[in-house]
Amino acid sequence: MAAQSQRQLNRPLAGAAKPQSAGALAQLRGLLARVPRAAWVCALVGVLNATAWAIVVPAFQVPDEQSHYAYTEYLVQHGRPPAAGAVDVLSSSENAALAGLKFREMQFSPENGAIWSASEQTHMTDLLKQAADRSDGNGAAREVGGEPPLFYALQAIPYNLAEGGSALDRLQLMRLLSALLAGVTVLFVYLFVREALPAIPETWAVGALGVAFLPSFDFISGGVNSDALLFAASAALFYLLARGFQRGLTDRLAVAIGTAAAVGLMTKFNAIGLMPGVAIALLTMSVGRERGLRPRTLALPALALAVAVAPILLEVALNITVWDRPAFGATASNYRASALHPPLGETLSYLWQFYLVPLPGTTHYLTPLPFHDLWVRGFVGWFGWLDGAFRPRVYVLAVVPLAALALLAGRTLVAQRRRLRARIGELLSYAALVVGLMAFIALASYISYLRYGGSIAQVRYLFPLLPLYGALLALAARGAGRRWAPVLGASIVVLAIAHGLFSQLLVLARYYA
Amino acid sequence: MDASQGVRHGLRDGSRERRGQRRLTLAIGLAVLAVSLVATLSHATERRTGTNGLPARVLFGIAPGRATICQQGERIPSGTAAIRISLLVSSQTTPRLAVELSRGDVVRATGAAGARWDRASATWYSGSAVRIPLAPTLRGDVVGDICIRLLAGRSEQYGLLGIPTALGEGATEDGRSLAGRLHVEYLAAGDHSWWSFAPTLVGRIGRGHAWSGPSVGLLVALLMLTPIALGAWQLSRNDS
Repeated sequence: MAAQSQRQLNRPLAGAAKPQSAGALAQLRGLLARVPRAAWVCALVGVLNATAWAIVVPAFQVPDEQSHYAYTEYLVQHGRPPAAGAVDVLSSSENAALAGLKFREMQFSPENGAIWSASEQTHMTDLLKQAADRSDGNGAAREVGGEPPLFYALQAIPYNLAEGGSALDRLQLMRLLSALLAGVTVLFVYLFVREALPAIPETWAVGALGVAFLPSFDFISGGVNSDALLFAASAALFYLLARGFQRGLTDRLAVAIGTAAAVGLMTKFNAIGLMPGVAIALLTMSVGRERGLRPRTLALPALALAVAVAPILLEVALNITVWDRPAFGATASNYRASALHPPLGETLSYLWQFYLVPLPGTTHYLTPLPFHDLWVRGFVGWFGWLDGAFRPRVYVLAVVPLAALALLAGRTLVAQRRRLRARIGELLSYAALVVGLMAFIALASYISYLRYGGSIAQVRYLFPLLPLYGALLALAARGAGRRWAPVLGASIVVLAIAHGLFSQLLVLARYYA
Repeated sequence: MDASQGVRHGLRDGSRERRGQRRLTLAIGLAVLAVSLVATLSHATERRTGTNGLPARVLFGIAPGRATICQQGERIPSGTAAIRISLLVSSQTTPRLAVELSRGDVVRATGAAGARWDRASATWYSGSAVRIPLAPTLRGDVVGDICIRLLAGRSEQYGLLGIPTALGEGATEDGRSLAGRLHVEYLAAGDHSWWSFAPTLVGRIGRGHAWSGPSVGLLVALLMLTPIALGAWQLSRNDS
């Protein structure tokens, strides 16, 4: 089986040597045909889970969903993305839908359920049927107006498909597109784990299914939120980088890496946090290929970065000439750093405690134990507008399996340390991706703190790193040795299933009981 | 049998053994999960017939220990046998209050005895929630008024939690307008398991979506269970 797996691995997936005359469609079909069936099944599990969440969670109860919907609506109605602004103005049509759906009554209010009675349903239907203007909003200018337009351009397809329906019909179709993106993410997580851990094929599905059943991931991917596309782009990026490390960087792979990075950058500003890691990874691969640092070494990294940046330059040009937006959306967003000059010590203190715990003698910006209170809690489950939570003891007990998984994965890494030494460049590149994204999110939160006194600590912002979580689960499955791997792997998946299932029940109880 | 055939047989046997272990673990794990699920869904607890839709977000008034707080135009669902309101309290002694639900001049239900603090239902921003049983249980939806007579000592005070409103649209305290309305939850009689509550739950899930009806609830159940079956099937099949 191991030999067979190795043969599978040696078959090219990206950068396949196909005759130039073959059409692009045939090439794509060929690529898809080489994706193992297990990856498709895991992806389907991801799609179905996210679809379940897309129906269970009431409309607009996924964080910022009303803003993402508003951006899409603006894009469709005006033919261009909105510009960042000081306030959010939603269209009359969306406001009517929000009123009918009890959006403001439910938001942040766990004591209030969704639409339960026939009279509420009638009220909602009446409001949705009213002819209301869809073009008088500003596309949620404050919340997301400055963001890049790719996700919203994609969401314009289901929005237009449901043209004759109500706002609720449009939102439901848009949610289904997000659910499909969850499948893409899981597919690439599988491929990443397969590429990064070729010696343990029995754990590839464990990693992918662990992600596919992760409730916080399915919850966000079941809503209209640009994070869904960022997760998929990032998972593709991780896969392509792992492939480059395993098989060497080629022209085609450099273009593919650049394309995945471009999709991320055109989706959400947060993708910027991944770029230092991508640059380091490309350079490391190229140095390995050229056996040293020469001018030629920079050729393929430069090609990849050029592909990644090209759409940004196009957007900048359109922003200035056609769309009447600031050249760089980030400079006008909530997270612009202009006019802020915090002391370096305070900035570092904030970055540290954003993820861990405040050090003695420093200002406490967040909770007493942010690692647990924000990140473990968020990972275990914090649904809706952070108003759907388990009982407190669940978050305490959850530390046990999480710590066990980390220890088991650590044990595998220690046992494989000789092999790891040979892949140190690759590992450092993944570490750079992690550190870069985490630093970016923490800095964005610090800017938010300085500007508005708030924090943006939500675990979904770290989900572009889900491929590494998948790899961690795969490593954990081998943590007790080869003999116990089948038992551990199956146990991890059952645990993930239980986590997902009870989270869905929690959300059902939150909104409908 | 040559050496290479022996190795292949060995690999096949090993693979079969691992698959068997995986299937057994999956079977045990899923059985344990099913038992946990059945136990959870069999647990009986109180069920809400509805709420007045107002969040318990703001402290909009302080009422003295002896006062009557009234709220007009409440839609109280059929089957309501108790109400719960969120209050900030100065002490946790047994609450002394009485409730009256009326429509026009007709009293539809009253409650006084058995009121108790309900800490489990207290939200993080509310100090306490108080649950007051009503008699008789409402047999149909009622649009009417709720009056809560506070009967505590004069030294006690109650913080009223709900949302701010314009004067004239809010609750009243001894006939005087307050600048807010109370969050109120309506509860069914007794405790119910999820099984007995399932038809109500399916009915509620069938509302507020792009299409309506029991098919929404059935689709949700299907979408919750199919990925589990698919994931287990994939994991039990092969090594990659």
